[in-house]
Amino acid sequence: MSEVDLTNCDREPIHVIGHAQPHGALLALDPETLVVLQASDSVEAHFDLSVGAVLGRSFLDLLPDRDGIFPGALSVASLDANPAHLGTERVNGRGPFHLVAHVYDGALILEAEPADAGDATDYRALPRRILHALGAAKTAQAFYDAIVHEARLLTGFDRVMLYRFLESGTGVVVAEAAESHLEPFLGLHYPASDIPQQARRLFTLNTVRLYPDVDYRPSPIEPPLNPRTGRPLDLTYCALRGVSSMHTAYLQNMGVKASMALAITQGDELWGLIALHHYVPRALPYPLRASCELLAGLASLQVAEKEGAGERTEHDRMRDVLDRLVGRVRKTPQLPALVAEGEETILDLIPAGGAAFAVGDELRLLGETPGEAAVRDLLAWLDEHQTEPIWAGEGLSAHYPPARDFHAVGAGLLSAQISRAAGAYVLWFRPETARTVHWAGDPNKPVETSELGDRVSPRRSFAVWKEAVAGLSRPWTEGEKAVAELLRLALVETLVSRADEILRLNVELETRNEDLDAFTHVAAHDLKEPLRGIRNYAQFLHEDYGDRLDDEGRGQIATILRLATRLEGLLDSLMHFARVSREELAVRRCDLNQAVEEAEMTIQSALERTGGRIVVHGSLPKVKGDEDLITEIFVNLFTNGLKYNESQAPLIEVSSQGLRVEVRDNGIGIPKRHQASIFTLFRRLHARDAFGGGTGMGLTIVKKAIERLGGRIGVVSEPGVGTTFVLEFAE
Amino acid sequence: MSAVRERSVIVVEDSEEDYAAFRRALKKTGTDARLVRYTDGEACLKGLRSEEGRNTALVILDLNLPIQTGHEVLHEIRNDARLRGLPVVVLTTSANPKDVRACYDLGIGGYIVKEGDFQGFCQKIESLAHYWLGAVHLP
Repeated sequence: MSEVDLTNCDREPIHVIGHAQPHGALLALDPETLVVLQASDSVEAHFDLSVGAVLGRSFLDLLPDRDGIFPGALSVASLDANPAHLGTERVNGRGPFHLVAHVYDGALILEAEPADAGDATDYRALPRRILHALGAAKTAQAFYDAIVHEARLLTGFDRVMLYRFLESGTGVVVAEAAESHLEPFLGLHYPASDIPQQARRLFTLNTVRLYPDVDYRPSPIEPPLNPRTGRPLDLTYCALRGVSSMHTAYLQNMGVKASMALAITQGDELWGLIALHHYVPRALPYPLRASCELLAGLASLQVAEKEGAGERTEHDRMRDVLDRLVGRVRKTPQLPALVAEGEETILDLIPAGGAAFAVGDELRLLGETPGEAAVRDLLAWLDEHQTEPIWAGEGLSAHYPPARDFHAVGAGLLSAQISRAAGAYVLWFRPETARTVHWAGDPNKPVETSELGDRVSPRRSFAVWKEAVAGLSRPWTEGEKAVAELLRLALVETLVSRADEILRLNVELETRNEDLDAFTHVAAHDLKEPLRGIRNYAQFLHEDYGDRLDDEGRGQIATILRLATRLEGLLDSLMHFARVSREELAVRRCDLNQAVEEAEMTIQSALERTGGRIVVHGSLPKVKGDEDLITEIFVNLFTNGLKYNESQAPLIEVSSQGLRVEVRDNGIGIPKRHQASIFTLFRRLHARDAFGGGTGMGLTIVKKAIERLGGRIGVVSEPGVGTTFVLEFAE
Repeated sequence: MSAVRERSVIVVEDSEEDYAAFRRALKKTGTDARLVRYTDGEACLKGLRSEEGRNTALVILDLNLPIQTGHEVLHEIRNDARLRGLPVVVLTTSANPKDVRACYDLGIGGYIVKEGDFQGFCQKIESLAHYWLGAVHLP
């Protein structure tokens, strides 16, 4: 949609618009003879001569002194595409006028504007004041503010805005000085079409444009074609150049009666505009415009440096935060110090809406981020797709569609991959910019029917309109990416030095684990003996004195027995576990077919009791391992499969593919939320007495056993259908 | 049976309560064997090697003993020419298959795990008594 007006408006030939603004007189002279070839009809108002009376005459005839300023000025000044003030003269006995001339496209163009005799401005003092004001600004914003302040001071316009073009071609008001009663335009964005391409080009050539009265009557240039060149007069460098009807309508829409624009350029590029609005017509004398031109010129010269200084300041700030963060990470043993509450965090490092820190399963979220589950999914995606250490994008969803669900907080992502192996990432999230861009009018609806017929008219609505374009955040600057990279390097270094530490701790941990296993074994063993005594004596009490006790007494003895039995079961399990954990392994090649047979025999009575069956599909592999331990694994899995089974015909199937062995049962299954915890010591998923009781140790023992053999165990289960344990034996 | 009644059954058991439970269980079977108890392996070996020790019919050996473990005691018995042939039955808390195998490797006559409730224990002791003190012919 927005291309429509761009195309049309961009084609409008505004440099050969064919008329002048009437606040001055415009004449095209023969560069050699100074004979007037073309003139705006405003010559009548200013010189009291009709166009017909002017054409064909030497301009020198209109001056009081034929040998006055003209021949001399023309000889010294280079007027080629460079309007120069020749002097202030009376013309045809009228005036005085400021006479400004330049040569372009085969014509000497003379512009005459009335000089204000009462102008008391001390123009000599202005350059110094402007230089000082701009030079004193330390940051880009202070610089912007100084520009609009100075421009308003110079011109007295009601509103002065500094309008900066963005990469997209759109513009944003970055500074404003205005009468306090006016609604501020600061922060508003304008679509690229508001200042069409050819207008931008003209601004880089002719940096000052003044429209003292937007409702002016155009003063046609006659004849329309230059008799020497046969072309329309090119007004590119003319101060009096007429205004596009599109633009006047645009200004009228805003209630603006006088307008001025000063271009700030960077080389051939238009950086931005100082846009001045006045709500009643306002003329500015030529010398004051020249001062405005000086202001815009100085701003052009300094803007890169000032913005660079701003970037340096921001970069220095980020470096300071980075130094403190890294210092803290090195001091504390925990990387999550990066996100510690109440301290400086990664969110202070790089401006963003939210941040996340992940290492392994640990995930910390800060500020406005997607939900934890969404961030985990994103991390999984990054694990697979982030091939560069730093990934930055303002439109994540274009790469990762699920990001559409969290545009509001995470349209943009900056990801620093610390270690893929360790699953360590630092992420920064930025919200969708649409939430923060305030358009002056709907940029997507530029077409409105107007008195100009099928031509495109400017937008009529200047109400603030928030754009809802999807999925883009403010982009990440090179400086921000560089800081992310520095943080990444510092963390990688920290991780490496930590790896040595971890190695040492692992050795220590192993020793402690062995001690713990030994303790478990001894404790369980030594505890069992007195426990058996308690149990036996409770039994003796019952046998010897039971008949002398009442029911309550006998009940209490029964309770002692029951509790002692349970405690003994727990101790047995603990010993069993300790044994599996610490027993020396007799590793040799074991035939899993035999191990399964052995296990089947071990649980024979349980099979008979439940009517269960064990079916082996195909031939199972031979693996390296300890026979007892392997049998132990199958005994426990089979026992579980029979025990947690409500089927009339419990069935356990064993099959294999390579070193991967599956033990599938048709039991009650395990709900997904419990699947991670079933291997935990003493974890039971059922009431103590349901499914024949148990200590909750079986699967812990299985896991320990397979891990001691260098393998792994996993579980797939669906409640009501069955459970499949997947054993992966080591090579 | 008279032969057994005159000969002694040696019980190596450091726990008073376990020994009491054993005696009680054995008594329930109606066997009136002469029980000689030692609370550690050293005393047991000394007793076996004494004059009275010659009269031993069966050794009931716990594995978890102070000073010397049951394995060590068993080992010494098997390496002593005069004791080598003694029938030994292990009565222990340990159900570890490695313990079981190691003991059978040393030529034990049986391995009984002390587990379950007292009734279960009594059944095991009853079997032990019927077999070792009734059915078999001892050296």
